[in-house]
Amino acid sequence: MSIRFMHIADVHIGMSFTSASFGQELGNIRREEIKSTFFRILDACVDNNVDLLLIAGDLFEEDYITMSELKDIQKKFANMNNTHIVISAGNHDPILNERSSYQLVNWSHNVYIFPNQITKLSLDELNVDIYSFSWSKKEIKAMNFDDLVIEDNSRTNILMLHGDAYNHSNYLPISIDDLALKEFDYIALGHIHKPDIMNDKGAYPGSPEPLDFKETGEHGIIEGIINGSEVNIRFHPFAKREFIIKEIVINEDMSFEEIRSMALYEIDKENNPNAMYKLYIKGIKDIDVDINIDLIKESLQNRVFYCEVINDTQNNYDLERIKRNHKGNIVEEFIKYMEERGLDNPQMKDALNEGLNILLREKVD
Amino acid sequence: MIIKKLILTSFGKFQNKTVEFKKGINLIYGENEAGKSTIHSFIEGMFYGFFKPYMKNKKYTESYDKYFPWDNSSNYSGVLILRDERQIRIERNFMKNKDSVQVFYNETGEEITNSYAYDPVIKMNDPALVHIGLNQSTYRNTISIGQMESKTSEELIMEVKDNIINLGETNSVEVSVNNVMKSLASKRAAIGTERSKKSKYGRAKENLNKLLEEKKEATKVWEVIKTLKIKENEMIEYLQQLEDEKKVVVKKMNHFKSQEFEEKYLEAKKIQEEINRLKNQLEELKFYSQISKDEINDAIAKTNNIELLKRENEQQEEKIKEISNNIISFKEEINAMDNREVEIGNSEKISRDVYKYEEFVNSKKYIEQSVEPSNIEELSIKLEQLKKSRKGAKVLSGISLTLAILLLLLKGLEYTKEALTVGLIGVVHNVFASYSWIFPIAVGCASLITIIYFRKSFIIKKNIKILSFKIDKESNELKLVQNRMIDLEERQQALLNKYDCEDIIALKALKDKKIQEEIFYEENFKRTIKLEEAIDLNMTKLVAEKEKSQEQKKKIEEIINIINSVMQKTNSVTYEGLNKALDRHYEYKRIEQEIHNKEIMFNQIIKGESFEKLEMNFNNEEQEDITLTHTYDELEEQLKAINDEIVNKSKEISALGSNIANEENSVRKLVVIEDAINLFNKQIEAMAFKLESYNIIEKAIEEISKITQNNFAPKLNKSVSKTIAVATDYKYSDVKINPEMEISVVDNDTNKLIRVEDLSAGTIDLMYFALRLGITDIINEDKTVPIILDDCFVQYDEHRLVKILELLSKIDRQILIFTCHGREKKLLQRISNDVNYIAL
Repeated sequence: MSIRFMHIADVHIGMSFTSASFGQELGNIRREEIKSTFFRILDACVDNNVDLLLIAGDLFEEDYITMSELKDIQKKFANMNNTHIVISAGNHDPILNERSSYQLVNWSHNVYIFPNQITKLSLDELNVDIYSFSWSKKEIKAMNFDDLVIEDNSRTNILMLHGDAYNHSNYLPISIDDLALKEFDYIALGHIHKPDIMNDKGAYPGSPEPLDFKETGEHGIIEGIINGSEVNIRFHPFAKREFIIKEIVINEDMSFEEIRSMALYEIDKENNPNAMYKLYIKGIKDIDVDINIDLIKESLQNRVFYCEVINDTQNNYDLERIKRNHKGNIVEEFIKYMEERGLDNPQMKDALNEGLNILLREKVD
Repeated sequence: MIIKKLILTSFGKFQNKTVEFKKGINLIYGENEAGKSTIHSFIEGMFYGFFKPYMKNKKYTESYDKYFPWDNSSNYSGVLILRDERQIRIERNFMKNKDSVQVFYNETGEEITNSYAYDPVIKMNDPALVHIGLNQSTYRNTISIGQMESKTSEELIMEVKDNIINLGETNSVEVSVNNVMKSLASKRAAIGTERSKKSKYGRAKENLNKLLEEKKEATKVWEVIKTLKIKENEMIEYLQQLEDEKKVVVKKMNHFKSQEFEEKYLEAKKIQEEINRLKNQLEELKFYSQISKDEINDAIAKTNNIELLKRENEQQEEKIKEISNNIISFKEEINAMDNREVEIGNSEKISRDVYKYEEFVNSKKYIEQSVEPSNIEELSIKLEQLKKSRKGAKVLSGISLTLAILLLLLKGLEYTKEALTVGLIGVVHNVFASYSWIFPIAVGCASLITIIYFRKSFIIKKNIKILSFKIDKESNELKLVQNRMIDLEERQQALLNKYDCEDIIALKALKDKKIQEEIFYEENFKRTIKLEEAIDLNMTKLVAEKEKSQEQKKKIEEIINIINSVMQKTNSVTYEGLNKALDRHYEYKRIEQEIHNKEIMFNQIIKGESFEKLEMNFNNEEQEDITLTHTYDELEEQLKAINDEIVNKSKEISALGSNIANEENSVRKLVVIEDAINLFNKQIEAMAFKLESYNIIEKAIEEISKITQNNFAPKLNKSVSKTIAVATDYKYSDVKINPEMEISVVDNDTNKLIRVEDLSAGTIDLMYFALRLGITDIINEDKTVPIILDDCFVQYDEHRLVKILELLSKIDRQILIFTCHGREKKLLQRISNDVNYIAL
């Protein structure tokens, strides 16, 4: 008997967008999209007769989920009679106490939420054992898996963990190699938002919808088929939108209009109106050219779902020449002053730039 | 350094204009628009070119366009000769893309361009730094002095302060610290502070605080919601407990009712069995449930009707037979008739021919009567008689005539002549006449006899002629008649031959026969037509009748079919069977009704329970053993209480549900608030970042200014003091600039310290001028560069001007004064003899 399963994580329903500068409205739209993509996944479970849905943490934001959203999720789950929904809470939706969101809902019989300790869930019907636990705090600095042993080798054994397999962070650092020695048939991971099939036994599905500009590239879910101890998985794109980072390099001969056209061209040539862009404008600009980010943004926002523009240009100041020409006077002293304090510090760099703008503009001409 | 000579090859309005300067004061005078500023700018351009400073790429200033040659523009260039340690010749081409600087030793012509620092941006060597020692901005702010505007003392003081602050150790004064500070202040003001609620920063902060407050509120509400939800969950659990309790009580009550229940069950069972029996019956009669009463009744009615229809049809068939017979007899009659074709009109032709024949007979008779052959015989006899009488007369006349002729011939011999003219008779006559009376009587007698016989012969001849004509005519006619007769005979024969008859009788018989035939034929023909018409009529009738019969038959068949189908449906073989089927149908309906009645009874007994459950309970009842501690009534009471409690709790739960929804709707979503907080935090962060940058700038500039001032102030004090002492005839000789940038002077007369703000405007001018000179002295300690004054003194009164000019004449350096006034020249002539006057 082959079992179809889906593995998702890090949906982050109710996410607040701190790193992308979405306005109020866009934030709401995006939140709705995240929710609807999640419901699309659930529909896909039903349509494809998926037996098992693994949710490896951070399904929602404990701080921001609303009661009506919880109810929507509960109802949707309740209608999925033929799918076992197995959830372990992550660091964003931890089960801190009896007032935590997971505890407030009467989940239907097909939903299983792991307790705070590593526990085995036996799905006899599918001949599958799942080992996992739910987070009960916001940080887990370390965890000992020595006692974790497969109890019944005649079953398909799955380990589901919400943790960090890359860095020794405060979010349950794990070693995929060490865990591989436990000989689970599949390790369903969560926490990292970028999809990554680590080896044939373990994978991060990533967030179904990308959440900020660090999460470029395709996003979706992991689909799998279990045949006894054989587990085959593949990544399946599911996201409605994509984050894309673009860069244009200008030079000091370009006018604002030229810069704007260049920016428009850069975005237009992609022809991806559904994407969310971040456009860096780099290079050296003429001191007299004022790059009006808002105007560029305005033009771009008609073309794509979302576009952020970052002015990363520098004035065409030739510090050495300015110093030479102002040897010994306040301008040279000012540059030296800033250089001594370190231009690696963005604050100092900005102060130097702003200061020069004023000093050289205000020079008695 | 002094500037020796300018050659404006092509620059502004000038073409190949040469201007030579000397050491000391050079007064360049000319009317407005004479080109003073052009020459002034030319000097600057020759040293520095017309480029925007500090750019990473080459850009031209407005002056480039301003002094673009009016003519000969391709040669936009000039030469400047100066004397430093050696004479230096600077040649510069201003023209874009061709621009260049070349420097030579003027005496030897040796090119020394490459010994000057190379500017990689403008891609040229820079002679200015070596020979002037100032950058362009400093040059403009120190040695090149434009029109001194009538500034308020405050402005002047400000500028003085700026200059002091800006003085570096070596070579530039160009940044107005004052303006920088103003600029910073306005930039800072654009962001504002937290305290100023109207500023960007203040507004953002205020909004943020409001949002944080809202968040706190929303968090509280969320906790309330959670509490409500927990309460709701507890209640739902309690409700579940109540339901369980209820089940127990109900079970107990049911047990109580078991006796009653048994009876009920049995009764129900009995009825159930009854119903089942009836249902079986019904099953048997099921076949008749679907039949239609109306159909059967109709079929029965139709069986009666059909005999009548059949009889009608038989009659119809007889009618058809009769018509058919008629037709046959008519046809036979037609067949029996002589069907030889007889040409009508033959009899008539024969009749005409018979008539013709008879006509011919009549004609013959008529012709026979008209001709008499005896006439011709009589006439022939007469003719013979006449012919005999004519011969006698002819002889007598001949004799008399010969006598007469002989007599005449005798006389004629006498009267030949006359005989020639008179006829024979006349001659004879004459002859007779010519012989005396006997003679005439002899002649006369002879002639008379001749005449008489002659005459007689003549008449006879005439009669013969008539007679012979008559005979000819008569014989011709006879011949014609004979021919005609023959013709008629032939025609008659032809007619007879035509019909192959021997004689007219036969022909007449034939005629009669033909007439008979024709009459007979015509009668037959008429009869036949009549018969045929009768046949046609009967045939049409036959078709109509047959159709009618066919229809009747069809109808009969249809009815039979209907009856048969109904019989088939009702499974009956005979018509009587139909009646039976109808009876069974009524039976079915009756049983159905009975079952219905029984079912109502059954339902009344089981009261909404299912019989299976009843049965199950009945069976369970017997096994389960329940201890009963309450009476039935008590239990009933308990049940009622539980039910009430369930209703109440359900109400409370739904109230809680709407309460939760209300609470949730009473605030914005936390995440929405959080988003807004993030947004404002970002804004505030960015603003704070900028503010911090401005703070750093301010602090940096303050520190730098202080250091500069500290290093520089004493030197400046000294230099300015020296100049001011000269300029004020030692009224003021000590200038003090304190670390707070406050300038004051010591009044030598009163020995009091006077703040610069309290000095007269003229003295402030001098202070300002002295400062500028002082600064250049300090910057270029080892260098005396020319001072260029461009219409500086327009606003000065004569007294102030004299003071300044005196000061200038005492300075040991080249001074270029550009002016449009004669005033300076006049005054200078009084002050110094060593002035180079250049008129433009």
